[in-house]
Amino acid sequence: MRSLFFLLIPIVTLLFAETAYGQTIEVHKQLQQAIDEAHAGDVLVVKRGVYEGPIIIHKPIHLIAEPGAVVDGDGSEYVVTIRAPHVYIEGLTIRRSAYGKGAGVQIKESSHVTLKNVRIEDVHYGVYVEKGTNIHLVNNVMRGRDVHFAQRGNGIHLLKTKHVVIRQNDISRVQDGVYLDGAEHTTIEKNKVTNARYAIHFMYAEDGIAKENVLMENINGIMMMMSKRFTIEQNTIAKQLDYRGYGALIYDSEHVVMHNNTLLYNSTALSLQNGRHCTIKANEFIGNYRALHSLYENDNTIVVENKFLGNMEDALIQGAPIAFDDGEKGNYWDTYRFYDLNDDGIGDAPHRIRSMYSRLLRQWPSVQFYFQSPALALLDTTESFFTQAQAQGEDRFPLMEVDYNKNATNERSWRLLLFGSILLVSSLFMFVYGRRMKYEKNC
Amino acid sequence: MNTAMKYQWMMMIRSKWLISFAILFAILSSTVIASSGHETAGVFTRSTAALLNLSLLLVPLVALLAGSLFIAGEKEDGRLSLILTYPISPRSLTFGLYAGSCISLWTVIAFGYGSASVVLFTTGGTWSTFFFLSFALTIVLTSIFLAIALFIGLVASNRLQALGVSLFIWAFFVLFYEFLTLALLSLVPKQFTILLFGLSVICNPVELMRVWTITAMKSSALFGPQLYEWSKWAESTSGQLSFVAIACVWMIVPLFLANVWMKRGKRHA
Repeated sequence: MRSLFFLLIPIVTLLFAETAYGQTIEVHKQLQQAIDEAHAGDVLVVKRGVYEGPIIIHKPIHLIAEPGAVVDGDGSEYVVTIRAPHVYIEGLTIRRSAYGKGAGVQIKESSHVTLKNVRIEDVHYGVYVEKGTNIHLVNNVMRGRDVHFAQRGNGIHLLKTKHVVIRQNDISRVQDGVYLDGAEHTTIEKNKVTNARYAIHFMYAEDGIAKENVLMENINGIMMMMSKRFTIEQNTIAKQLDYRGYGALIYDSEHVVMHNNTLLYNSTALSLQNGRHCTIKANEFIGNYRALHSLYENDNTIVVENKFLGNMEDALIQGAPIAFDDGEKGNYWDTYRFYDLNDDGIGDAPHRIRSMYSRLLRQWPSVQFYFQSPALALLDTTESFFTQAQAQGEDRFPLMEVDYNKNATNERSWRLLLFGSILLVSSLFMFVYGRRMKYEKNC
Repeated sequence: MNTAMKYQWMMMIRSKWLISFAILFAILSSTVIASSGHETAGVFTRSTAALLNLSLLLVPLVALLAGSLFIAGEKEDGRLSLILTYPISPRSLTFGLYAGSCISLWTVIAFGYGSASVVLFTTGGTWSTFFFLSFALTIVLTSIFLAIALFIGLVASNRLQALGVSLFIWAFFVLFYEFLTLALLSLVPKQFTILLFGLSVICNPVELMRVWTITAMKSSALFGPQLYEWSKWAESTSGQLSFVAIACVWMIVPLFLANVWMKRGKRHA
C-alpha cells in the first residue's frame, strides 16, 4: 500500500506538470502557427504587435498578451474561436469581425474558459458562447459599431450555457449588453452597460443573479422574458429615457426577486407583465416618468418596502390589481398625505394610488417641469377634494419614513438647533434694535 | 442713505402688521415642517416642496404689500415730498428705503425659519441642506420683490392703488403665470419647449426661485426625463451662476426704475 503511494507521487507530479505548468513560449508573429505547435497547458506570451486573424484555439492553453497585442480579424466571421476546455486569455485586443454576423470571440461546446482584461472592438457580437459551461468573462471591454442597434450584435451572447460568470465588464454600443438564451446559473455582477438596446436580456433563462450592475442610457435596462428564478439586486438602473424605454421589464417570468435596486430617471422604471411569484422589495424609484407599470395578471406578485420619491406618476395598473403590502408593511410614497398618530411608522389610512395630473402629463410630458409648483400643487389638491379619480391600487400599510437613520440623528439635529438658534437670536436682536432706535437723534 | 435706511427700518419693524405676519409665518412654517418632518436629508420630496411652496406663496405677497404700502403711504401723507426737500440725493433715498425694508423683512424671514428649525429639532427631525438653501433663496426672493414693491409704491398715487397693483402682480406671478405658460406650451411646437421653460424661468422671480432651489439641491430629476439635458446644465456651475445673474437683474432693474422715478419726484418737489 505504502509503495503504491510513493509510486503515485511522480505520476501526479507529471500530470500536474503536463496541464498547469506547461512551457512558456513567446510569440512574435504567426499566432495561429504558435498555437498549433504548442502543447496542452503551454503558456503563450503574445508580444506587442498586430496578429492576423482568424485564430482557432483547439487545445487547452493560456494566451497572455502584452499591452499592444492585437488580433485583427480583417472581416472574418469569428476573430477568435475557442473549441477546447481550460483556455485562458488575458490582455488581448480583438478587433474587426465581419459586418452583420460573427463575433470577436466564439466559445463553442467548451468549458472552463476565462477571458480577462480583453478588449473587443469593431465587431458584430462581442463574445458568443454556445453550449459552454464554467465560462468566466472578467474585466473585459466591448465596443460595438456606431450604427443603429438593429444592425449590431450582442455584447455577450449566451446560448444554452451553464455556470457562466460575467463580472466587471464594460459594454457599450451593442444590441443587447448581455443576452441569455436558455442560459442556466448565470452570475452577472458589477458590469456597466450603456448605449445598448437592452442592457441585460433574459430569454428562457433559469437561475442566476444580476448584482451591482450599472445599466445606463439604454432603451431598456433589464428585459426579462420567459425566465425563472432570478435575483436582481443592488443594480443602478438609470436614464433609460427613450420614449418607450423601461428600467426593467419582467414579462411572463416567475420567481424573480428584485431588491435594493436604484431605479432613477427612467421613462418607466419597472413594468410587470404576467409576472408570477415576483417580489419587488426595498428598491428606490426616484424621479421616473412612471415608477411602476403593471399589465395583465401578475399572480402572487408583491411590491413592498420600496421608496417612491419624486416620480411623475407612481403607478399605472392596467389589468389585475397587485399587492402593495404584505399585510404588515407597505411602501413609502411621497404622495401620501395622512398622519401616523399611533407612531408605529405606518400611515393611519391606506394610500390610494392615483396618478398626479396624469391627463395633462400624458399629453405634455414636459409639464413635469411644474412638479409640485405652487399653482399646480394647489390645482392638484383642489382636484383631489372634488373629483373621485379612480385609484390605481391601494397600499394598506404605507410607510411614513424613509432612510430615517437614528444613529445619525443626534449630530444632524444639533446642526439644526444651531441653525435655528442663530436665526432666532439674530432676528430678535434686529427686531429689538430696530424698535429702540431713535430716529430723531440721527436726523 | 444711512438715515433713510434707519428711518424705513424703524418704521417697518414697528408696524403691528409686519409683526403679525412674522408670527403667522413662524407658526405656518413650523406646522408644515413639523408635520412633514423626518424627511430624507438632501432629497427634494413633496414635503420639502410644501415648505418651499409656503415661502413661494407668502413671501412675495408680504414683500409686495409691505414694501409698496409703506412707500405709497409715505407719499400719500406727504412725508416723502418732505424728505425729498432735505439735502439727500434721490439715489441715497431709494437705496436707503430699499435697504431698510430688506432688513425688516429679512428679520421676519429669519424669525420664521429659526422657529421652524427649532420646532423641527424638538420633534426629532434631521438637518437637511434644504433649510439653508431654502432660507438663503427666500432672502433673495424677498429682496427681489421688495425692489419691485419699492417701484410700485413710488408709482402708485395712493395706498389703495399700491394695494391693487401689488395683489395683481402677486396673483399673476404666483398663481396665473404657470397656467399661462401651460397654455403657451400647448400652442408652441415641441422643439421650443425648453426655450419656453427657460424664458418662463427668466421672466418670473417665483419660478426662478423654485427652479433654483431644486437644481441647487441636485434634484432636478424631478423635472422629468424630457428636460434631462437642461436639468444637467441648470445643476452645473454655469447654470447656477446664470440663476444668480438673473436674480441680480430682477433686483437691479426695479431699483433703477425706482431711482429714475425718485429723481423725477425730486425735480418736481
